[in-house]
Amino acid sequence: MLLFLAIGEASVNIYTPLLLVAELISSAAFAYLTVLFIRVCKRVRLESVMLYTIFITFLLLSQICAALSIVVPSARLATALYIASSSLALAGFIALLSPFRGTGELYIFLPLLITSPDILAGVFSTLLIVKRVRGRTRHFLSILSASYYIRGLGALLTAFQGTFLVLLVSEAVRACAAVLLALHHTAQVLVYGKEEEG
Amino acid sequence: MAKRKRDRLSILFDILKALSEEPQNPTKLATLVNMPYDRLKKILDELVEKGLLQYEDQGRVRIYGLSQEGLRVYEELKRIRKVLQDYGLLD
Repeated sequence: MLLFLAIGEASVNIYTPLLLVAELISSAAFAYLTVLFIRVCKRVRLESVMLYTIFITFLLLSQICAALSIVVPSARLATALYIASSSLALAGFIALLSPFRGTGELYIFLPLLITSPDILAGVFSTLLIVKRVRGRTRHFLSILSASYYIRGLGALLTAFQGTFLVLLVSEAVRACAAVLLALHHTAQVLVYGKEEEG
Repeated sequence: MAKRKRDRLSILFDILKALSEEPQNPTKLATLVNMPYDRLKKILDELVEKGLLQYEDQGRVRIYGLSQEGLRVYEELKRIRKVLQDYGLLD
């Protein structure tokens, strides 16, 4: 029994470094491919090469996030990086699933794929607002959160009805909310600096 | 079944491949890469503008060849060709 436990513990101790080595090897290989494709992309300026360059760049970023998620000590940061790794990979796969190249089915699945991160961003920002956020930040973040729901709806409506209006409105709302939130936090930082000087 | 139209990258690859073997005039090149002369002429002008091709006028005939940059791009395209083919981005 003790021997079994010792083997189990040794396996766990070996697992993390091996996983990290694997992540670093793939990151290095993807980095090499990214540099090569960026170089070719700059010279030939063709859509197919550009799409692959975007795809491989997102995969590289995804691998870097995955590698970092292993080494960071904070569980919360590791979770954020873990989610970033899958989101970045998703963005890369969507780049290659361009509707210009595929069959009619893509017109149905692609909007759903594009919508899902928006809806998730909306849900999690709402959770954050309800559970944590205070002050004016709550208002600005609420607008930003709402814009993600509208954006998800807009992506679906654009795909199925061909109307860009909701998408355009949501992008405008999101951009305004982002500006308000960014300026609000910048102002907080600047005021803090002045208070310190005073 | 109808044959799929060649994408621009495949056309570029075919042109660079033909010219890497021997400089050509547009008429002969059109036959080699299997495309209409008018369309090929436009692409050749674009490639000259991008610095991938160079030409030399021999009397009334214009002979196109690869520039140093074009040769580099052709070598790099050969390296990445298999990857692009695997993803259906190149014929």
